[in-house]
Amino acid sequence: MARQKSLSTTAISPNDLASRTLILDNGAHTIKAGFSSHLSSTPISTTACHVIPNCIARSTRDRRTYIGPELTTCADFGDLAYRRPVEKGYVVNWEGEKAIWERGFLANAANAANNDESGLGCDPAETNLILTEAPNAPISLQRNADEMVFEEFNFGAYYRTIAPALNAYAPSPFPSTTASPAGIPLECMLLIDAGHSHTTITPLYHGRPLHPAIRRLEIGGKTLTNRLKDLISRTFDVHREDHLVEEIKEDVCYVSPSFTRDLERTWKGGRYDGREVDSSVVVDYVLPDYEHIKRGFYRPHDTDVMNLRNRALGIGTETGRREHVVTLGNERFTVPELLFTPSDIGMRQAGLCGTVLQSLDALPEGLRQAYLANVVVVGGTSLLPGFVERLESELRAAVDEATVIRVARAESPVKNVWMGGARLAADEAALRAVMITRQEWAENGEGWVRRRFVGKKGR
Amino acid sequence: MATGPLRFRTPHIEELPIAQSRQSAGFAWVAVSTAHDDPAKNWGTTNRKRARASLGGQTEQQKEALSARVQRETERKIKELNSDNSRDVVIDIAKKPGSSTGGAFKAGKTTGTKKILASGKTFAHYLDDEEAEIARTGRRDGDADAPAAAQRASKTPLARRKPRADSSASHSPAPSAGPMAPPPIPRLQTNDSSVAPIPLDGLDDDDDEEEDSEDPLPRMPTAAEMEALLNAPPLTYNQVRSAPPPAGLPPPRRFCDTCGYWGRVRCMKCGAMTCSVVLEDVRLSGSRKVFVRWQALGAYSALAYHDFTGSIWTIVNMRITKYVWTQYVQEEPTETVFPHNEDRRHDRALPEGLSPG
Repeated sequence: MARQKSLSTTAISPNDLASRTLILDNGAHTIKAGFSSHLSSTPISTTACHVIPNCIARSTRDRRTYIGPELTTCADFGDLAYRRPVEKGYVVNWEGEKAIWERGFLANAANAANNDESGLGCDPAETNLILTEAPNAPISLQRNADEMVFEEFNFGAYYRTIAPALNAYAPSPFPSTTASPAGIPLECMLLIDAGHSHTTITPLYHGRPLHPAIRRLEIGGKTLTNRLKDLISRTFDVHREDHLVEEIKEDVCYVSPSFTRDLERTWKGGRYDGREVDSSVVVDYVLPDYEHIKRGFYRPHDTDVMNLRNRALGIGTETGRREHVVTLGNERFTVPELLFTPSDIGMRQAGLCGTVLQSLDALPEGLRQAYLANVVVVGGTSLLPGFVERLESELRAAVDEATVIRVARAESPVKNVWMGGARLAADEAALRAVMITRQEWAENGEGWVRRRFVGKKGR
Repeated sequence: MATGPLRFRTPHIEELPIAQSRQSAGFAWVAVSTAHDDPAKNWGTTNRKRARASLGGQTEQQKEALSARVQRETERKIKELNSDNSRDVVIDIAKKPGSSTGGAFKAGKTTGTKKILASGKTFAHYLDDEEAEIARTGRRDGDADAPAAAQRASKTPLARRKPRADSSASHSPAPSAGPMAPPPIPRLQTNDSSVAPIPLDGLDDDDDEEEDSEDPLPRMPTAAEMEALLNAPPLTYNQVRSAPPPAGLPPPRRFCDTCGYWGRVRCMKCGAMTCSVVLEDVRLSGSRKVFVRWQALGAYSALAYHDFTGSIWTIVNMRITKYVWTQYVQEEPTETVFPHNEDRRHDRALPEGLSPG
């Protein structure tokens, strides 16, 4: 395999970097994995990024355990019990994570067939690794990660970073910003990562995070899914159906620009002032039964009660199948409202806009305008319709009129961190500056390695 | 000797006669068991909360105890919402078929990794360990000169802390050597404004002396300040948590437990909000699944409504309506479950003449 000559100006020890880099965005919900090489000159596209569910699921109906990528082969998602090795954004259970990584992309005799299909097989000793984690990890977890990567998986070189930092290397979502070549980070970016476990706000300067200003709001996609489970369970018990409620949330929930107005539209009225419910908001969601209906879908609300009963019996539906329907009215927008008003469930944290302001308060006054003009939103939860508009309007209301505010969502919010990592890995100079090889780790120890990852130089 | 019944319930305390006791003016503790003992304040309710409210209100201590309980409940609910594994699932990772090295692979290659793979710690353990370590010594993350030991590990998010004296930890212990700096750093020396996409002019010229009363631009930080910011150590997990919103904003919004609209009426017994009488009935009836009715229930819910409207006619009306509904209208049980009422269903006694379902 061709290797680059080591450049004398960099501080990397004589061990060379491998030609391929595996970029692993290790999220709590999914892993985004893919290769990038600083030798090839092909432009990086998101098709090289594979999304692997980061969970171990056990189905009591099938009596099978699905680990990681095997979940795509599952036919019956009913009553699927999940177990996630990543807790609150950090890998806690390495046993599970190792099993998922092995099935996902580590070359393995037993999984050779799988890997060839997805194109993700690799030999760790000949691959560099870029691994992401959530900000503010406890030190022992960082230590564990380093040790596992080097000792257990035997990667050749490795860079561990917080996930928001890689976004600076991805192309900017603002149309007015000129595109920068791979490897050069954007200058100023206030990154809002609305992820599965929580939402983090990280100001970045030239791709490096400003640590005193990082803030975390403990509402994420997981909280929203659990809240939706509680609300739906008022009529139909779905506490054990994680997958189904996640699908419902992704299909049906949206962020309302005006919460009170939408709430009025979905109220049936009291005893003496009954109202017509606005059927543009209320929908009927047909639940999948994994035999005839593989995937749930929704349609406008059918106010006729008799139809409900008929459909459950199979009368009047196409192909005579039995359709069980759940009506979703204000759950559609009260659930995502939690992101902006956590006090609705009693959580004593400021909403998303308030947390952004807290983060900006920790920065010098002069930087406020710079960061407010470059707010980038990534993360799966940001795919909710209306999220960006609502955030922008709340920021606009909270901040001085003269300030310019630009809020944009990355083109692919789920894969954006990976894109950034891939572009970083495509530029050799940037890559060499951050990578730590096994030899360096063995020589200098884990404390030094950890400091290097944070950005401190020197002993 | 009693001066009257006490305002709060106490266990029955009896003064035992001692040989030398004198007949002196004083007081004696008298046990008050129910509101029946005090006809002046007796509304005929068996409801403890109403009785408490009507018998002169609570002391500060009791109010605090109540709100602490409520707070604990909400915190528990939030923790449940944020829990990762929805139920206690024990999933064994199946042995990979055909793995050549079998056992050795599974356990980890070195002692360190074996320990990590076998450890069953959860995130909460790691967090507590870290907090304990910070409390004991300075932060062990390679900041060789730890912050002053006087700074205790605190769970208060940063935004809520009172400002402390600057600790030495905000500056990197080692100077950044030139050739080792990653590419982004040299750009600090260049003009901040030259590549910025922001339409602000003349940033470099902005000084403290320039007092433009119309549009004073805040001072951009110097390169040294930016350097200090960038080199500041990462914060701990608890410091980074978002702080509560500033006090003075409206209180948290309450919603109806049944339908999700604004909560307008509050149940006296359990504190659940409802938006309307219709749904209050639905809530009380326990979800249309098991049909249990008792008149006392009807009575207090009517009273709750009474607070809202203050009209006796309404009470009577409601009672009769409820009674009629109880006797003659039944709904078919469906699969619905109201988790709210589930655990309390056992508390109810059936009055004579009515059978469940």
